[in-house]
Amino acid sequence: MIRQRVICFHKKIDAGLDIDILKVNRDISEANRKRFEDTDVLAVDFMGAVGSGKTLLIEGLVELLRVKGLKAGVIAGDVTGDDDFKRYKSHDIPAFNVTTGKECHLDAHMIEHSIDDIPLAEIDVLFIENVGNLVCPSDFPLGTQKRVVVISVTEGDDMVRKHPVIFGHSDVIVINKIDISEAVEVDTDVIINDARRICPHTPLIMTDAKHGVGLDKLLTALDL
Amino acid sequence: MHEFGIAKSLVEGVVVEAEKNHAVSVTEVLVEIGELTFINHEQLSFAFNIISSEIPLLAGSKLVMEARSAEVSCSSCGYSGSLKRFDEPQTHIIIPVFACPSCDGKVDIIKGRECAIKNIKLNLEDRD
Repeated sequence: MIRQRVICFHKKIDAGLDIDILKVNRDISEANRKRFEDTDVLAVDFMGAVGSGKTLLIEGLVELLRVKGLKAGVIAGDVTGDDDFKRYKSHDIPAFNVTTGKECHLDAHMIEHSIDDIPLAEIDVLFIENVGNLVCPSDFPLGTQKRVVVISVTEGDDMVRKHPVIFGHSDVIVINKIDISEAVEVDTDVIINDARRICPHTPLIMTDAKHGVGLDKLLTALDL
Repeated sequence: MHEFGIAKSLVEGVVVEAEKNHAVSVTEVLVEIGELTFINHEQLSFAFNIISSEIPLLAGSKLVMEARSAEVSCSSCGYSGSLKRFDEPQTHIIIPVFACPSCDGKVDIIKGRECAIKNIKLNLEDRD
């Protein structure tokens, strides 16, 4: 019996594409931005090093805004725990805790869900405290109108030149804990010079969040 | 750390395109990675190999990564092109400068933040 043979051959093709994997996050971030703008909320993403003082800075800004008659809300992003969230809640403001589990940054999708739990119509400003990290948050815009990067003198004088990209993606640079620069033997001029040569157009604010120094200037830099 | 998630999205995108073309296998995926992203090529390749090995359509496929240089535009003088950079003599690391190379004005980043699938090589099966 003669069996018919099925001859298979492969045709090879190149499929030219242009699919940006990071665009998925950017598309969601644009939808978030629209929700902020539609409700007249200024959203601010606070990125920065672990322990640089992001939480204390935001707590100070919340109280300064209260004096100005403006109401703030906060989304607290952390890998785990509710330490920062509890601090924000103690200010009697709308707050939501996002624990990423293992991720080293917040992304637009997490924020899309988190803002369902924040009464945007009742607040003027939404602070989003990102996970402490000077690398990954940079690739994932959340849709905020402003991005702030915070470092402090305790991390040393080389944070800006070690992480130039996140500074390039930020609207405001904060150098915090300037009150203890002598104690930790860090020359703030070195940090300032690095920031000036890498991001000459980005406002640079020196703060001592512990004693409320520079917070008014930070609000001004945020157009508040 | 987020390379695994990016590799997963990458593989999902490739599978969709391969199925659209009725491919029997994918042999190569070309990705352009922007200079201003924090995507580590080696880690992305590692994650891609693990994920793609679990998917018959992509098993054995090769990930080719090309770096895409950053580009900026300046609204003051109309410059459009490469970023200015300077060499850090102590570390030999080239550091980008976020200002116009032509007039030192404020710039917008127009390229360098992407991770884009640019081409996939497919095997299509025909029967005669």
